[in-house]
Amino acid sequence: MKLLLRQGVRHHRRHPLQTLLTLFGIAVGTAMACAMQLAQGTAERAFDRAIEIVAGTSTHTATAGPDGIELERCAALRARLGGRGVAPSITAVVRVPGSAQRTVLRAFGVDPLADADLRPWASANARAGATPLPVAELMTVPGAFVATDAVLARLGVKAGGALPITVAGRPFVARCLGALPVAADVGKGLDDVLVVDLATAQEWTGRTTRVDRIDLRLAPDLLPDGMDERAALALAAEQLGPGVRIVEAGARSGGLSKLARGFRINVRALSLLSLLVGAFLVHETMRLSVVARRRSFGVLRALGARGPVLGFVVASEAALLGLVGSVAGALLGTMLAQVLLDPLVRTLNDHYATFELHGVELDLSVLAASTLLGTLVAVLAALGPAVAASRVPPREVLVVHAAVSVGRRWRAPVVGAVAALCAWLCLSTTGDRLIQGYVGTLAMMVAAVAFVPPALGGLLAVAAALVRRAGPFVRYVVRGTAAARDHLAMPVAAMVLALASTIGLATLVGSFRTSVAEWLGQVLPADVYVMVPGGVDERPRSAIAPEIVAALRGAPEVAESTTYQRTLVRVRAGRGDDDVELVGMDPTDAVKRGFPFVAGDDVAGRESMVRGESAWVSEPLSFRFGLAVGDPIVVTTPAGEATLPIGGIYRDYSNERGEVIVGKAWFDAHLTGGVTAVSLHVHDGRDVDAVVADLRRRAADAAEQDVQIRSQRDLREGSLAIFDRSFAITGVMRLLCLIVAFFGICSAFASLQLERGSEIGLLRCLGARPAQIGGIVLGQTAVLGACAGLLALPVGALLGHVLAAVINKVSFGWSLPVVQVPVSAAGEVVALAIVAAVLAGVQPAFRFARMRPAEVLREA
Amino acid sequence: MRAKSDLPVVAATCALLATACADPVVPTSSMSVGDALGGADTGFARAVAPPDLRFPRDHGAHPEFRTEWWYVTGNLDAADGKRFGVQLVFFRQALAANVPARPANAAARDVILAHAALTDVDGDRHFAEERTGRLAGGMAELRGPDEGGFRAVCADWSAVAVAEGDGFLPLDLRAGGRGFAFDLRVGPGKPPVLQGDRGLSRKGDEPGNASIYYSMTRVPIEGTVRVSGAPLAVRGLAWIDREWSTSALGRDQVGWDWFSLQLDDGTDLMLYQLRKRDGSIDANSRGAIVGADGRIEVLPPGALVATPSGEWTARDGGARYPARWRLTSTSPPLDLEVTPLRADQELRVLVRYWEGAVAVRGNLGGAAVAGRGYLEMTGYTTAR
Amino acid sequence: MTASAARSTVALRGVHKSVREGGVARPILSGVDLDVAAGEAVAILGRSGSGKSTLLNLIAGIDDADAGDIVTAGVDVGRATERERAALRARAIGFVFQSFHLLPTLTVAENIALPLELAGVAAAPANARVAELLARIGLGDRADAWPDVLSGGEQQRVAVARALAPKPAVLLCDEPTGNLDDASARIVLDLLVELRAAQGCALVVVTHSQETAARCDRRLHLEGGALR
Repeated sequence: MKLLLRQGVRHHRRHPLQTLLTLFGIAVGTAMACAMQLAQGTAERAFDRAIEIVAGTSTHTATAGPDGIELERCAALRARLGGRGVAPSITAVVRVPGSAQRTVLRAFGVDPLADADLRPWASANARAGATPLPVAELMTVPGAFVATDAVLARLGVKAGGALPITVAGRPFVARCLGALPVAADVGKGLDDVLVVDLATAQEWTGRTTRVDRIDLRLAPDLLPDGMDERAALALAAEQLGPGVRIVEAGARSGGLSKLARGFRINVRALSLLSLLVGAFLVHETMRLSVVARRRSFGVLRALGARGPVLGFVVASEAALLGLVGSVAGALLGTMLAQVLLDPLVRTLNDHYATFELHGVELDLSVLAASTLLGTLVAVLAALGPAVAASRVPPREVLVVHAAVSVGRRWRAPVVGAVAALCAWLCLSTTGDRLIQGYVGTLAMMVAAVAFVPPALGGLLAVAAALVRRAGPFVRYVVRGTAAARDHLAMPVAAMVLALASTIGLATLVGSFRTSVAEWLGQVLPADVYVMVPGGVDERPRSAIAPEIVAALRGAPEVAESTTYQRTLVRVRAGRGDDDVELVGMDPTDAVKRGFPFVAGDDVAGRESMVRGESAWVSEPLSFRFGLAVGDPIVVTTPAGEATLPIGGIYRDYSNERGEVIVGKAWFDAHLTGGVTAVSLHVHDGRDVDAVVADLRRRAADAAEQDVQIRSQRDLREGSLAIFDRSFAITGVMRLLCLIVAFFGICSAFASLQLERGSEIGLLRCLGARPAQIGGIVLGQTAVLGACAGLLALPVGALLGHVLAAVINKVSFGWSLPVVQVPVSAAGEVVALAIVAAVLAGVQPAFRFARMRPAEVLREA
Repeated sequence: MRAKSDLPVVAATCALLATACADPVVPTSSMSVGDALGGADTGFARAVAPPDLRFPRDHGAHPEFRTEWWYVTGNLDAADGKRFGVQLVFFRQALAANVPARPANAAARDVILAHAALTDVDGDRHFAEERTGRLAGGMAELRGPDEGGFRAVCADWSAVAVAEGDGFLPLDLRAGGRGFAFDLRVGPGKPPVLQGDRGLSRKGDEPGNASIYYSMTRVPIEGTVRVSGAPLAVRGLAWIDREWSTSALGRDQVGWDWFSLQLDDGTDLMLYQLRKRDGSIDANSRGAIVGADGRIEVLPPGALVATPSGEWTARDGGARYPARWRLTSTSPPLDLEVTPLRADQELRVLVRYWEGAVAVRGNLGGAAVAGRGYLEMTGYTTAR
Repeated sequence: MTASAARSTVALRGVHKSVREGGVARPILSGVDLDVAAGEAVAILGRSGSGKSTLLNLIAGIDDADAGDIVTAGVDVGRATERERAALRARAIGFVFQSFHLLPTLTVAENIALPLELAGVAAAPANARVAELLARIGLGDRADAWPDVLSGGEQQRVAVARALAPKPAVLLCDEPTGNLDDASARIVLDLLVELRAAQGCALVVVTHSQETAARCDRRLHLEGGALR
């Protein structure tokens, strides 16, 4: 076996270009899969760690919407649950103005005297070596905080230092007591956290009698004698009252997975795609190497080597290529992960204002899995060639012309038809099953690939007809290509796949952006918008000081205004039951009409919400909960449950978890909550920018709170900028995909040309000049490139529509009214295909052109 | 003065206040008040002169001092002869002398720490737990006798004055934890006696290194204890100590041994001895005898000598305590053997110390006596 | 099967073989009988396309006969599985082709070692055998050379060494000198005869060359699908 393997390895060493390209393809595919996994793992672990550190060893968490829970209720519960395993906490988003660094942090308010059983690091027992938590100062100095060394270094504060901050726009001074004495693993989870006492957190959030949440450890080791978890849970529910939800620890950490899903979908699909391209490269390389060594294999068979042994040898070669490529890929992936991490975090940061990551964590299991995956894919891709090698008959050695065996041609259309049927079935019944959507998309791609060979034949036939009157040289170029189409079908199909994917993604992102821009135009009819700066997660809590609201609404430039009271409530409707954002609003006519309805009576539906007789739900919520107009939704209020029918469903891209809008009157009658945003219509003819400046002055005079006052144009542009940032990662991935496709094309076409050495030699013998030879080679690859590019267009457009209409809908619950293939992306792809194909021809063209005819002939 | 409870609370305080404390379970000189509290004890009152105590008012808190406690220990018997020892203590610890007025209802100046222990002598079990809570937002409570009756609450534990009493006694004690619980009513019994110099108990040579200290050395206690299954009716004698101070211990004091003994002739005996780093006994150690008539006789320094014998080592090897004691004195003539009812009555909470029920046997003034009592031993942890 | 056939190294009885050309079966061999005794050298002469190479393929189990029995080195080739045929080729048959067919990615020594590996010979005896053969073919100093730098005669000498390396019972040669100049052809031929004689293996050589045929014990002509 040694010599058999050796001859194989040497074969690849003798074709370094082909081998290197193959290795590159595998490496890039592996690298992308690996990088994504690493970056995502890092982000998820950091997020989970943050949750875990905060939630400690609790088994349950009690929360109660934006108003929180009275501290005294928590105290009473603590007394009834045996005094242990009950830890209140408060989280507030803290901004550090005027600092160059990313300036958003979390303040985590704890009770060091209640935390020993849940969060030892935040308790009076906490110590690292000889340094305990400075509990006394933490509890008695207003604004006192401790934080990890990393956070202190980032903020540039030392023990005793003061740090001006804002919370929900209100200014405070945080006072640094020094470093939090924690072990490194705990510290990592506190990378964006200022640890403060409950009292400080109460003062910063302005809710001076309440806490956000209570972490509970309802475990036998802490519960009073004779009380089990169920009894404790019932007791907690009774003690905390109806407005409080108690969820199990396991239910908490789903947040990131849900929110980053769209991002992951993109990247995972892309990394799979690049692996697919890598697999194709392996397949091609091994196929060509088997073809080239057909005679050698015949000799080996005549010498007594068994067929399966030869197949095994070929598979081993592929495994070796896969291993080398994927090890390189894993290394490349660790570097790429650093590149991916930033856009990933930026995507997350629009959801989690404070998420902060520093460097990718290397996970050996991911590296190993990527390597294994790359190798496995390579072996699988080489199975066909390996089987072909094992079937080389020993008499091959005596056959003068070594025919290239290709897949039986009848198979492709059958496979294509089956795949197309499967795709149609999956995609038309996807519902909310993401996996099914993927299977359908994959089936669609398989179908597309299967139809490439006949389509390519058709295109080439058309091309041949078009050049009927051209000179013999041109005809030779086209017909030569057409004659070889059976060999070319696979590489072209792979190229079509890669190119179509990039078109599909561009279509999705482009259409999404167009839709969002259009939606922003409809949904922002007022001139000026006022809100408290903050990320999504703090939005419902940050009320604008009533003085500011009054001052702005009363300003002489303002004609009309709408107030929004956003809060978080538990909503039960359809198949859903979850905490959902709810907005109470008294809309002006323009605002009321601006909400783009996707369902509901355009007049009656809108009016009934304002009168408090119905609620509007956003499209993502209706999708998530399975709601239609007229369905009842049940809102949990402090006074119990209140029911409203759905009056309309509106398009909304701002919140993929969905939200509910009710009339202000209904809100005030059932819920509490300050005004969280105001939109203002300015009198006609006023200069909006000047008005904004004036309103800012008025707000500053009215109360000490930093509110954002932005013109509609400014807000719209800002929103689009956020959108573009969120999808920056898609751009990066798309580029990588193009690169892989590019090299794949180069590799495949270059080897195809090299195969044709004898024919070229013959042409030289017949008197063709070197330049003409170059022209033939380049012309043929260009024709192929153009074919692949053209075929990629419809496939890409189809893919784009499926991504937009099915995958996007399943992932986020929002539909896109406009789906179109961006012209630039289409042009880009066709150009790229041709350029790559021509470049692929350059090397063989030069080589053939430089060779003496005899050499070229012997090459065969 | 009652020095006995000083070490745990100083250590606890030390742990809380995060100054130059080493590991709190290792009692070293760094646990003395001066080091532990640093400059943070400024602004508090100091015990420099005998106080003018009025009861029941002074059964309530004295927030001008930094540290204060309400300490109850007792020996209990069930009808079937089963013996129990019980301990419940509430410490008040000020975090700072002066704090700004703050809007937050979680903002606290003081915290409450509580220790509860129950020894089931015949069942050969010992239970001990602690509770902590800030004096704010209902997490802990402390109310004086003149605010509608004394009330100390920390999480699920409480000491609450009965409505019909004098605002302090009778006092209902409720506490428990994993495997144990008790619900007991104490007092009234012998009236308070002032320790030291009319209630001023010196602990160190420096002025101000002293506390205000009074005791109720013999008060009836009855109620129920539960160590498993149904509650068991018990009755017996308790000893209540009250003490508050701002700074107490000297630098070179490493621990102490405290005895509270109730003899069957009606005499009660208290002794604390402060051990110094060099192994000698500090001259500020004191003993006192309270007669059956309730009169206190404070003994001169060195009159009463406590001699340890034997050794009991905690299971984890983290502390080694004397196994028995012999108390001797020539005036009055006294020779008493003090034997723990159970070897392991160690509390391993935020700090680590031994506190438990003991039996006493010997003679006093020529007559044979026996009795029960409580013993506290601190500063016996082995350096790790 | 006759007793003499059973003793023969190669025995063919009534072998028929036709190939399909444009949907019509053209008979190539029609009732071939052949016995080659151990150590015997047989030359098969015939025109191009007369089926000489097919005959060799049938003997080696590379191709299947339509009818008839073929026994090579004691193996009933017609009834043997592919695994048994491969083993037969590795162990008992040596092949020398007109166009050498050395593996381009293995060195001279490795090419000779390859059948030994396929026959499962351990490394140490295999290396000794390779060295011995290299010396015999006069290429001891070219052991690590690549085949493509050798002349045709040298390549064929290596091919002969490769064929004889596992000491096969029968050596099948297909125009071994067809691609060589006279001088080279003579050297290869000498080598073939010498080595074969030394090992005592049977030889079936298909050739046009009278000179080659003259070096054999028997000369048979393949005409009209039969040997005479």
